[in-house]
Amino acid sequence: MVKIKLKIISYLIYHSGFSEKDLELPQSITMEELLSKINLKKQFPLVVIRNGEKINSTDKIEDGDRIVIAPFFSGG
Amino acid sequence: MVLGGFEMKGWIGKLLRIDLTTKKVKEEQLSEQFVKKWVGGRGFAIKILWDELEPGIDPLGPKNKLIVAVGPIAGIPAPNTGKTVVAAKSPLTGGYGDGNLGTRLTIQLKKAGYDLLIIEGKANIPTYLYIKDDKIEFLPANEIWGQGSYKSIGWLNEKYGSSAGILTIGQAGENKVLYAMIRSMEGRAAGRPGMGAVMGSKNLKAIVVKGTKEIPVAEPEAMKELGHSDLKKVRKIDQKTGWSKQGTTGVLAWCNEVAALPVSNMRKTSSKDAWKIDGERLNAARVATYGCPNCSMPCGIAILDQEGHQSELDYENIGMLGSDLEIFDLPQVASLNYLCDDYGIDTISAGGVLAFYADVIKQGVIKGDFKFGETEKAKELLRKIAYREEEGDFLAQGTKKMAEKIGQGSSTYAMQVKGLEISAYNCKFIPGMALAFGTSSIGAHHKEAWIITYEINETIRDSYDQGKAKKVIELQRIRGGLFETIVACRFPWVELGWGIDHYVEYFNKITGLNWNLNDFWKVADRIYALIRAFWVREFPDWDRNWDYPPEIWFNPSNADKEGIIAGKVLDKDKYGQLLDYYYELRNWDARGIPKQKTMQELDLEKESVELEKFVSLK
Repeated sequence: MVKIKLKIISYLIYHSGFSEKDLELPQSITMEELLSKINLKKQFPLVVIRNGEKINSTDKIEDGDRIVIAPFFSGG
Repeated sequence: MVLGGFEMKGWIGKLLRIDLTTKKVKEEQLSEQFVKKWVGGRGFAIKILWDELEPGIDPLGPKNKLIVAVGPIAGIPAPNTGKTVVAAKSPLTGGYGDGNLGTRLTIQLKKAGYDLLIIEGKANIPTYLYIKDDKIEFLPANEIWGQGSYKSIGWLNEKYGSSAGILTIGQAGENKVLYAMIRSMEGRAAGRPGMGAVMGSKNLKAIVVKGTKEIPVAEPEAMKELGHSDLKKVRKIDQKTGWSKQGTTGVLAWCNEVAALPVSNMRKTSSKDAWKIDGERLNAARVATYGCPNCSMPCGIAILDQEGHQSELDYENIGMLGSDLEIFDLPQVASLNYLCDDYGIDTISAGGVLAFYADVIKQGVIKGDFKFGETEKAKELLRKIAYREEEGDFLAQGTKKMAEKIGQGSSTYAMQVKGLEISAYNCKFIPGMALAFGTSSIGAHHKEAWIITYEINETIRDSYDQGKAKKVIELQRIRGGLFETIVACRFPWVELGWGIDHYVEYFNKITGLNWNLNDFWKVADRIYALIRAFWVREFPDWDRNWDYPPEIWFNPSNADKEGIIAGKVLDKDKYGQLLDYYYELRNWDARGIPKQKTMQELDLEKESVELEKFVSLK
């Protein structure tokens, strides 16, 4: 069982359908697979951070991770 | 206009010089060489201010000049061409200052037949200007002098019609608050470094423009089709993403997550209460939406403040008047924002000043009655600032001067660079963005370069490598150069990924020229060099330390105690190396001054000769 906290930022919440949730998965999956699961894969350029640092698409998420998914902000 | 075989399209080729002292008005031509060398907006502004201002003049005296400049694509329907640049020698910093805002004046000024206005002297009574094509009137402003900007704009709209282009100031400009802004339609404002105070010092309450002429365009039919079609495309992208639902405030939650949020005079980088003022909450509280002329992705989200006014909020307002003051309630932030807009005060500097004031009182360095989170007191302080009453007179000077007067080490946490308060990104551990603030040409402002996503997503946060300096310059060329000279809002590119090649296409179709991006980079580099020269000429004690962020960002005792950047701050030696990379890439010397050869290569030979009277060039 892999339990993670998921935070979605800015207009992505209107595509994922939520802004924050705790997710339980039967086993670890990659970041790319996670994005597919929440309907955000390949729609927009994204920045994904795990526990404050960048995570690559093939990295596996781990129990206890806080994952933040944001658009590729270029700064107001 | 045809000059020597070159037919001006896009550009009108004319400026209007208005002397408020003598009430003399003069039309002057812009040469082909001038428009191609400086393009418009900020480019026109720095060249004119360099040529026409003697160093050392009082920015609030009659010898300062207010420049109002549009660009060659201004006013032509296309993504986000409704912006105007305002510029002058800054009363806040003493160096070059400018800003840009969405305003109907952009379109009206071009239709009236001008690329720019140079406003000189000082009127002997409160005055406003009315420009209708070739007719210019100096009119008494007694009905609106002393009024806030909302009433002033309303009075002028009623008198001249809702399509009139209007720039005005509130009480803060009239009373020469050093960070007073120039205001236009709804919540639009510009000129952070005190452009509103320059207007006020000239007894100039407003500029109203109406024009009836046609704007010359090289390929009018093609541009009409392209511009309208592209506005629709941008709208579609916005609708597909949903960006304008939260607008710029979408970034607030992210800044909170990556420890970049301004909290408590930027001593902290996040807050558990940030969600209360984030983009989702803002969208839920929306009562109206406003946008600039020629914009199809309007980002002006208005909510009701505590007093029932509509108050247009964006990220900077909420970051600086909200989290930085520990106010986590949108209606309260909206009230402070409304007051700033009405008085005509820069919300970023107002937030920075109030946060610094709360901080020095909290540190026990001065006596005072204001704490973080005290909204009612903040409202009263904004009123006092606007009228320069009691402690408002002190606060009206900005954090740099406040800290110089307070002493006791307070300069280390006056969150400013070159006298301009830092905008809403807390860079205590974001080296590249700290460099962006350090090297922004008007003082600390994110508008010229914003590098945070790049740093977190594409580099190592804790690195100071040359790539970050390169990225800052790349962005300055685009944001501080291209967009500030053609004059257009960068949001379609920044927020929706609308390619910058589109803007080159608009420029070429409108002007009839055949430029590419490299042509714009040369103009940008030239502008950055001349703006730097302006600063160096003004300040004989110029030092590269002026390109550093506040000392507190280097202080390990200021590091976050917990969270993702716990224990980390900027490294001063490494920042110095990063700054050296920046200078090398710009071909400036180790003092941060353009080299003689660099200025020659940028066609600034004459300017380099002038600069050498003040400092020896390497």
